[in-house]
Amino acid sequence: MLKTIIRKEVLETVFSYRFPLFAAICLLLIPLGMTVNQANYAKRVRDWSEQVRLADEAAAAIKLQDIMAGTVTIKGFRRPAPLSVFTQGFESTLPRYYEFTQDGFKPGESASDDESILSVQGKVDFVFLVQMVISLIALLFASDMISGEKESGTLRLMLANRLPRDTVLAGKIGGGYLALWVPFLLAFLAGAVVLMLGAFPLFAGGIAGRVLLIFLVTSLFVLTYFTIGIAVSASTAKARTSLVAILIIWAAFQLIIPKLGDMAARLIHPVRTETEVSLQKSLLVRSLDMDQAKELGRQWDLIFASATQEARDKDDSPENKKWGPIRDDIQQRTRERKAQQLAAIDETYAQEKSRQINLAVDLSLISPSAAFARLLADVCGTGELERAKYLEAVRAHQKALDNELFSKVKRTLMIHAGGQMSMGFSAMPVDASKLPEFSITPAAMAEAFKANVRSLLSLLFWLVAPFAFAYVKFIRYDVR
Amino acid sequence: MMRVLFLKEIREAFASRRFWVILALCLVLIPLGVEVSLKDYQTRLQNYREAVRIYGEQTKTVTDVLYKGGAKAFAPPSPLGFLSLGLALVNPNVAETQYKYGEPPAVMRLSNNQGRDNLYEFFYGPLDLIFVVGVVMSLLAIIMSYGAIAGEKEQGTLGLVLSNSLPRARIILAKTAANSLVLIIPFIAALTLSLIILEIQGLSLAAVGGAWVSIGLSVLFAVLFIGAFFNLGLLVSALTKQAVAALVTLLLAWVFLYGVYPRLASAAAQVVHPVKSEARLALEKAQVRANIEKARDAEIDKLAKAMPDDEKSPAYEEGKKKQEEVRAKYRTDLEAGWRALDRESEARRAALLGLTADIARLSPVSAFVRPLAELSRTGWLEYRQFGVEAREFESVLNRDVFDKLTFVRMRGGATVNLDEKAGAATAPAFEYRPTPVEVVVRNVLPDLVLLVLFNLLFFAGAFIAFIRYDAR
Repeated sequence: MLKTIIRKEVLETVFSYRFPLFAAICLLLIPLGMTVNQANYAKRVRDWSEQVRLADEAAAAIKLQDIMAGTVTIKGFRRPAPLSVFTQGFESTLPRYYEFTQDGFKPGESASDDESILSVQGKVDFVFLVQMVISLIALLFASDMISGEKESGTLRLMLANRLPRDTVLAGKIGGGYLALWVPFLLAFLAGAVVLMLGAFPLFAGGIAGRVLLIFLVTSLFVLTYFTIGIAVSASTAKARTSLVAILIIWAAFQLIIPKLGDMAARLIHPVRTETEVSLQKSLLVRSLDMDQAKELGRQWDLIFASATQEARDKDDSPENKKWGPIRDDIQQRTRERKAQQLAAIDETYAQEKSRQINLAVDLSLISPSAAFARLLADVCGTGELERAKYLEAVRAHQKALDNELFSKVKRTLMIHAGGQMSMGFSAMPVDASKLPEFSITPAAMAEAFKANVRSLLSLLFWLVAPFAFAYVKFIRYDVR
Repeated sequence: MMRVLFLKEIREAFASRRFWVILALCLVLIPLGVEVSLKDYQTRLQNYREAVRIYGEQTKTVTDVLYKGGAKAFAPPSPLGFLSLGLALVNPNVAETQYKYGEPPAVMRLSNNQGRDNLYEFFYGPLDLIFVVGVVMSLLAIIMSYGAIAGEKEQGTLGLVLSNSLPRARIILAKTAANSLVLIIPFIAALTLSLIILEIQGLSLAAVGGAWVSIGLSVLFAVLFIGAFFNLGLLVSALTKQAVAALVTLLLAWVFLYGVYPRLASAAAQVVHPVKSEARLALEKAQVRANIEKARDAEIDKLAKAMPDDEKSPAYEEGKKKQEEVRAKYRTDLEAGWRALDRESEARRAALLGLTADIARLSPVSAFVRPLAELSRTGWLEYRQFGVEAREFESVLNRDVFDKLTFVRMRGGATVNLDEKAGAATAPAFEYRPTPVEVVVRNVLPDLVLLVLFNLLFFAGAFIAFIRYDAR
């Protein structure tokens, strides 16, 4: 009996206005979005490889004088994520590169600085289409599956047979969803073909697996919304009421809850801005450097005040032999203090920020739409996880560069008792072409899932709960 | 008879739950959005003031600019951002010189320092007036109007009304007038409340020229926008027999007009007018500079080999003058080359933005969203304005700072000289002037006319459809 009902539902949908409408929308928009995004991705990769090449050339040409003058900046570029063709995520707001200097790292411009004007309302990426269009359509189709049939009178005819209600419900959900899923599958395949035609590395390391995962998760997401639509339909007697209810639910999930979550978190856990924090850090660095310079000046004056010019110039004079270890010790202590205090500021700020972000995320995950977007962003490497990994790689690279490059040259700034300043240099040879390369280890699938447990729970909830709700409501539904 | 009809429509609307839901939504969402926007603005204003203060303390003289880290220019955030956050998190608001020691002219790099602090706002979009009107109010307009004709026909009351000797024109006019009031009154009430809240919290609108003109025009745009969607709903309702079908069509049309069409317009325009990214432009300029400097350095090397060691000899002075001539010549070439690249890029971008706006205008949503961003000084006009002002500041910096350095190359190396008086002069300051209000108004006027046309068109269509509507 179930198969008959499923077949009936499929045929009914296919022959109504809905199926061709939905098929047309899917088959038009999804491949179109893919084309646009794929062209954009290709452009970004071209720009990236050119900039890496130029930065490598610049790095190989670093001279000792530049290091001593403190004007060396090494740039580390982030490779554009290939799966950003499916969802933008944070791709356009992450800095395209970081600058590494003697005094630490600084973010460079982000892609949105470049293309702000050109992408004023965002890109038509796959996740956007699913959230905005396909989910709404799924809701609309489901919304009058029950209340619409009741209005037209055919529901009571169906139930006048010896037909268990749960079979009817299962048939409706199965059949209706199948009629949605097939056009979606075809559109997705068309999109994949478009990608292949555009020389996209679809079959390179692990990408095909992730694309399959994207398809499965999206299919589940559409099923979730379809079930919610059925649940609403089973709770209302009129098709009109179902539609208005669905509209409100869709707008709440898609547009209002994520914003309100973010706003509420910002009100409950206000946090200083990054600008403020980096200001605080640079003030700290400056004051510690000044203290160090004064201390060095004092010690230098103590040792060399009564020394001859010859003693100052000869490297192995007794004064210089005494000076060396004292200078190194002062610099080491300042370095340690700097590192410790900067780390403390970073730590406090990170805690503040993560408390706010966690609250915002938890609140926004009430919406299955937000949960879906977050999960897919992390699967595609353009989400929160990517941001964390980027920062990790940046910190590691700074450390590596400090060891290989910046620590080889010591600039000693001294402030003497009378207020005069003097600068001393000491340098060890540096092979600029052998510097470590900047790279970000992409997050493994398992990591993405572990980081998105709450999103998965939210999606699971919204899949199971409406189904149960629809079941309970339909069992007692008045079909007259 | 009009009065009776009108009163009937009004009573029906006010008595229904719909009006109170709309009132509640407006009174909650609009002031909430305005309040949050205000807090954001205050944070950004504080960041701006801090940055300006710190830069001012560090960089007082020309020498500071040369040796301490270059020159910076900052643009303050727009106080009208509560109307539309627009591109405020993405438009460049900081310009810094990228000055390699010893190599004028100065080049300013433009960037935005706000986006990073507001990542999630960037992700989900702000709760500004554009969102409330563009999304919530337009959906409400659809909900109010989808059943106006088809719904009444289904209920049977349309037939009853028309069985009186009542011209159809009056009926539809009364419906439109009454239901529009039901939408507009809560909106205006909530907006007034928000403006009062802003006044109480001391938001100073004086920094932006013609702020009240901008706000007034924005309200006009919003009212026309809501009206356009209402009339669209009326039109679709008059073309369908079932209210449900009308609603489904309207929702799909809404999603298309709001989410999909503007982006497609942007993508299509980019296909017609492809544009170099800023990064690529910077690369090309750097390439031009590298080539020119190589040629220049080759010539100067030759001259340097002939320089005498005695700085006081007349031959030295002559050699120095020759080197300066060579530098000046190559400098002119460089600036000409850069100007050509800039002009080409500007022209392409202007063409792209123009085409995008023109294609996107066909959706009433874009005819509303883009002008509101311009009126809030967070749109494309502001992007262009900051670029223009930054370039002007660049030439001031070159004139007063970077060109005061003189270079003389000798056999053994080079000497760099900076006139002491020039070095002690105050560093040039940057004062940002936002786009004047006349330019903005001229820019948004076509969209205003377009929205009026949309209203008239949709209403005329609904009118004609209703005249021939089968009310049985």
